[in-house]
Amino acid sequence: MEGSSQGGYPGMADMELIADALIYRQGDMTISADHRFGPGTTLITGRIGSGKSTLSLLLSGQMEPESGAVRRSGIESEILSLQFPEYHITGATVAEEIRSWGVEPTSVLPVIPEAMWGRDPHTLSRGELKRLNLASVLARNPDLLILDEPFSSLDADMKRWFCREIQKRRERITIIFTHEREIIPDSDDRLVMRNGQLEGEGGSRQSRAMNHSRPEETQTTFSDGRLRLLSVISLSLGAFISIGGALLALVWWAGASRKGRRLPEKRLIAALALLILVPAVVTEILVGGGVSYGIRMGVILLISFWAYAEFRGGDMLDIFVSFFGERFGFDIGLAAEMTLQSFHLAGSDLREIQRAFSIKGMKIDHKSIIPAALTLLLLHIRRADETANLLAIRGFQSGGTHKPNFSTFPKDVILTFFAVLIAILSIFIFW
Amino acid sequence: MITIHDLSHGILRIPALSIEPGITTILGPNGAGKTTLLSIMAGVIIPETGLILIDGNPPRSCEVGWVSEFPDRNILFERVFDEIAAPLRFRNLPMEAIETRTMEIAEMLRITRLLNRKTRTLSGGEKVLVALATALVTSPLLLVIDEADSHLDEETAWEMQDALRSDPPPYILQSSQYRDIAAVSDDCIMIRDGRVISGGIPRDG
Repeated sequence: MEGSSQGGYPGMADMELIADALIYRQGDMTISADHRFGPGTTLITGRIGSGKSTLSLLLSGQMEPESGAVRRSGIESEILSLQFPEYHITGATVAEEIRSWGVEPTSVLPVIPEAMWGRDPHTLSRGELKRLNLASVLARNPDLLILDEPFSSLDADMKRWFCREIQKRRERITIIFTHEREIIPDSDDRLVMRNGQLEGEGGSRQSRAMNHSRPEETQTTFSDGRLRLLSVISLSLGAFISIGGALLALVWWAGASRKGRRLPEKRLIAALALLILVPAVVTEILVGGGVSYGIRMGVILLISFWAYAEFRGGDMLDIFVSFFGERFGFDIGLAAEMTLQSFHLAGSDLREIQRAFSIKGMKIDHKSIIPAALTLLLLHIRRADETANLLAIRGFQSGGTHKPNFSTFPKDVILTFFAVLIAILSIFIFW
Repeated sequence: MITIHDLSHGILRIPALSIEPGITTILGPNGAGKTTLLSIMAGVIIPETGLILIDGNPPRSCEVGWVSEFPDRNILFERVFDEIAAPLRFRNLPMEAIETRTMEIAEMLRITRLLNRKTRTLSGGEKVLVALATALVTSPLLLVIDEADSHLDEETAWEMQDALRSDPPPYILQSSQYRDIAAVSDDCIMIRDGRVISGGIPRDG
């Protein structure tokens, strides 16, 4: 691989990556960048939370900007190295993992010694994984290399090794996002991220001062979690029992749910629709009643998506403590909170893993689904372990002080009334 | 005084070591056993053999605060107040006492303005201060900080150090990636390949 990277100097002078008036909003921060990146090393520093990781995703094309564009010229290969190397794992052994980057294990010697090649990459420490990732992408030597926090978890010797290696890429573009100060490579250009804006001297065009402050608010249809739970149970029951109940529940859903929170991701809808449609069609053909089944299940799914999107942190604790008290209710409530949170985290992990796959030019398909699922599973086991330790350290044994605080608005009562009515109608009239 | 006798766990071998009150930084290269040692001190891991006493008590029978490598990924509650108050809630204290103590620790770390915020929307530095407040809210005898600054920029790491010194618990054990931070602590313990090379007070068992 290293041999193939030598040719073609004339074209390389023109190699450039241009961030043209990039804008991306994230919560109440606006990420903006307007800069031309040429061959050599560009160092982008900035405090944590200043938007460095997001900009690295925008520059690598892993995320689309809201406005502006990223343009490349003369760049034929590119790699983004993510901050957390766990997400990158696709191989069952270290050797396989190195090959997944398109390089042979011999080209990462002596950083990754032969004794490590047979190991499962999931058993490596974060420092070793980072080393594996950096050695592989440096050996691959792409035209454009974007590195997000390459120094985190490396010890001083490895940091120095990395800086020396980066110097060998002078004719290619290297962009390093880091907060490291002590050991850093010589750079041709230095920039800084401040509150989402890429600023700096040395070739930077005037950066626009923009700050669209958008306060983050989570409005929900219901204020009272108990009534929401009662409504969800009533509607699901109503929809399950009869087709009339299902249609009324659909009307309720269309009227009560907020736009934009109603539906999950398109691909998930397609998968679930298929799951409902296939048995519905088969039932319809064989014994009849399949259409009714399809509609009822569809409505129940819509309502459960809505209910999931509506839940706020603390709801579960409120509801269970108000029903079962501060001992038993607290324990179940806390477990429910943790479960919901791990669902949210699984979603963000999955996005990271998809990104890591697409960086390697792989897609999550029948062949790669197993390593991807394994990575996700191991991340979760590790996190569950951390959470359990944290709860133990914080002194959790059983029960806890919690005073549920519900504010019930007239709207809550009206919506609940109709939801319960639908269940009653479904049972006594349509069934 | 913290005393360690005949400790052996994984690669870690510490025949005898004493640690005086104050801020002690554990230093060493990747894989030297820093996290293992800190986890044992905090009572997260029970060592294969060995005895650890913190002012005469084993780690699990005294109050210990813990700030992990990823303070921002180890947040359990959505509202800052609930996060900081959690250890007090778990101890079934009355609500008034919980509120008083939570306010007190928030004032000490100067994060009162954050109490009603959502933990998700905090900046990285703010999350670290919240993790620190949560670890300190029970007035622990020992506070353990494991590489909490390895994903922090230097300013944020120093903010955490300043916050620590505003009302420090009797013992603080930390590992840090910043040499300057190690330099200003009361004591440094160097470990390599699981053995103490320097620092602390080596004693005969």
